[in-house]
Amino acid sequence: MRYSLENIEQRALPSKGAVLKKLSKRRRRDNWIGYLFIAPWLIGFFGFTFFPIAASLILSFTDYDILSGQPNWIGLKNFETMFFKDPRYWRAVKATLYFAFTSVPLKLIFALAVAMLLMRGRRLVGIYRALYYAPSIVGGSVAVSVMWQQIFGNQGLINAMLRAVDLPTRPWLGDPRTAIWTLILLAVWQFGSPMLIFLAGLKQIPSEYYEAAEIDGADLFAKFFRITLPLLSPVIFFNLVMQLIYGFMTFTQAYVITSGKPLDTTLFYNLYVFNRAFSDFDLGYSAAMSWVLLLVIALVSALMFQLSRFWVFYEAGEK
Amino acid sequence: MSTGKLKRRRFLQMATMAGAGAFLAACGGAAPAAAPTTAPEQAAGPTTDAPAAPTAAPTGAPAEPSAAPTQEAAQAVDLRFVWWGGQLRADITTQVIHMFEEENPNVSFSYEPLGFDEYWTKMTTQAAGGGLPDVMQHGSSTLVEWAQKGFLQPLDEYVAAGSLDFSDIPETLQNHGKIDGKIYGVSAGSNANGIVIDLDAFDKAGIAAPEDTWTWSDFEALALELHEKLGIWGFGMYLHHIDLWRIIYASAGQELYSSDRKSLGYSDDKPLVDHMQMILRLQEAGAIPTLAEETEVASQGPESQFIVSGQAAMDWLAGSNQLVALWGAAGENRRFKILPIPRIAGMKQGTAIRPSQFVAVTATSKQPEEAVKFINFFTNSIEANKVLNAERGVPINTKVLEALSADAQPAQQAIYDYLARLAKDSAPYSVIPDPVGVEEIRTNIYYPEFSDPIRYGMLSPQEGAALLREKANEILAANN
Repeated sequence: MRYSLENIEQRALPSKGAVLKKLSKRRRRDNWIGYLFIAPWLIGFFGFTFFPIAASLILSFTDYDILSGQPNWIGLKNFETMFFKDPRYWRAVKATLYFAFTSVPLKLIFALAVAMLLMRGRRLVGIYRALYYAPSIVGGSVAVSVMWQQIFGNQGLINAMLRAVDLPTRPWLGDPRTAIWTLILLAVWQFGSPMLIFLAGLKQIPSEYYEAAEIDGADLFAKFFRITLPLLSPVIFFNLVMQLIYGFMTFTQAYVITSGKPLDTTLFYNLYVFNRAFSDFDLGYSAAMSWVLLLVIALVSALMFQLSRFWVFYEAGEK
Repeated sequence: MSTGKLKRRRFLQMATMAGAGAFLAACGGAAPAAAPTTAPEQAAGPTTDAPAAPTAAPTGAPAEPSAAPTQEAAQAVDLRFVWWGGQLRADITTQVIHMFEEENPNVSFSYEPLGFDEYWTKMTTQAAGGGLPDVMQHGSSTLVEWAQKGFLQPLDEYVAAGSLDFSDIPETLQNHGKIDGKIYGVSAGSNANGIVIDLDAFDKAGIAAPEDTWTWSDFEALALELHEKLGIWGFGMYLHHIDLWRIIYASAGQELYSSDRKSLGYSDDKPLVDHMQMILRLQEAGAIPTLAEETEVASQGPESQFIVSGQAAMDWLAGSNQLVALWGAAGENRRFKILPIPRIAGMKQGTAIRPSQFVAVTATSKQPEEAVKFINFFTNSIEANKVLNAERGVPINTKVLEALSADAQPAQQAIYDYLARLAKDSAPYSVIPDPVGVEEIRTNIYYPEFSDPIRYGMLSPQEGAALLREKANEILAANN
């Protein structure tokens, strides 16, 4: 069944001290091999993750612009500019929040609906699962973004269909009211990975509960809200946290499809960070923006964990 | 566990697994994001290495500044040239590099064509980390910034020594690359903004092509008339292009930037307000596309402009050299002509002949003599320019231009003709080099805060122009 450390310790109870001593001695001897094995990862982590993160923290207090050479320490000025003097910054914040808080709920509802359909073990269900998962894999790619641009373009598929039935066409990507919705639609279309997680969660719910409920005369509605949703709440919570974080970090689609236009309605936070860093070369400023994003994501996640107490349900009395 | 109850531990396991999956997914997403190619102008060809691997290491022997330019003293050198541009430019430039290598067997070239955005990301990083190429391309505003920050070499001594031969280049064109009295860049070709008109559309509407001296009110009337008679847009995209800002003020006899570069050179918003109001009137009448309709096309280069598809009778030409690409996309049976940007009634011509781009030698180049020799070949060789065929703009060398004009194709002929007409009556290329901060004004103020909100009707032209002046002055004061 299950082999945990407690089991081993219990079995070795008579000579527990000796075993532990031996174990730790061996452990110490073997440690360096362990470190050797993870060395590639350690080098990668310190060289390409930890060092750049630390550097960006320092840069966020400077006016570093690559070309001028030495970064000058300017204290909190970047943050001051960001919060009080840069209207584009707030438009980026607004676009990102709007995107995250509309696309994520829609995507999760859609994912759950499809997962429940797929639960009903029809034929070919495996194929459907794979098919619905496919957009998740390719959805963030440049190729799909370019395709999306074609579909919603002035001469694109949607407008061609509208024209065919004599309906008025519109410039979907150029109109400030519709542009962000093309991106939201693209995000919702990538419902595959939360769907798979929902499927796994749904399969964990014991069928006895439903059988018992049916005997009590519960209808589909009651079964969904009284059994499925509460028992699925940890999975929903997990998906919500992960997808919101992705939502905040969306970049490729906005970069390729709309480049932040029109009127900055699709200027997502990360796109603005990128533009400031690699087309304006304000590396200090964009580093500062990145750190604010990190803090905001951490805060939002913490808040969601706090709120989760009120609606997320763990079984077996765990708290 | 076997009962399948969902516990917190299980949740954490799941989180770890999904996290790992997410990490992989993120990697998959990030890699292609680094290579976006949206605009055909920016779609660079694949990175190409020199055919013969440059193995001769010049590290031990920095080229001596010998006054005697004798061939036999030449040592094996590596040169590196990096430029931005499309596929056509990549092909012809590579061909010219091979021609140079044939003439100079001691030189082996490595080269790299890049898209515009990638180019600057890469060059800036290389400037910071060392390892800039010997020869690089520049625009007018970057040339100033890079020269002033010490990344480029002045070329005056080579001009004096004759190794960079300026004898067939008109003096005004020589001076285009001059910053603070020294030559830092050689113009790769002359260029001018313009308005391209579809002569067939004009014939069909029964309207005569306008004169070079046309005014903005002529333009407005014409755009409306073409729209009414043909049912297409009178004018295509970018009637709010940032280049027009300078041209409108040049027409009114004012400089866009003050001579100390710390502020804008004008204080009267009226010319700009008038222009934006005209745009709103034309947009309202349906004689030009709305900005929503333009947005998609604006980032895609001359090949997708509305005049190409016949949806507009006149269109914007960001540089006269773009007519080559535009005409190529439209088809050889079409007829186009370039006109100067209209002037303000009673004022002068505001369109200037300007360098389309520069070639410059970096300060870190270890073999500037050879680099200059290449630039000399690039600028003055008739054979080389027959291959380059004015794709970077009209050749600055008069003799080269004569040789090319002799057998020019229609697009090239239209460009030569336009610049020749303009040379007789054009605004002088501004003697004030672009201030630092121009790019910031363009990307973060002009379009997002000024022109776009006005065209979407979120801001009045008066408010917009005042805001633009205020913000631009702030940036200029902080950077210069």
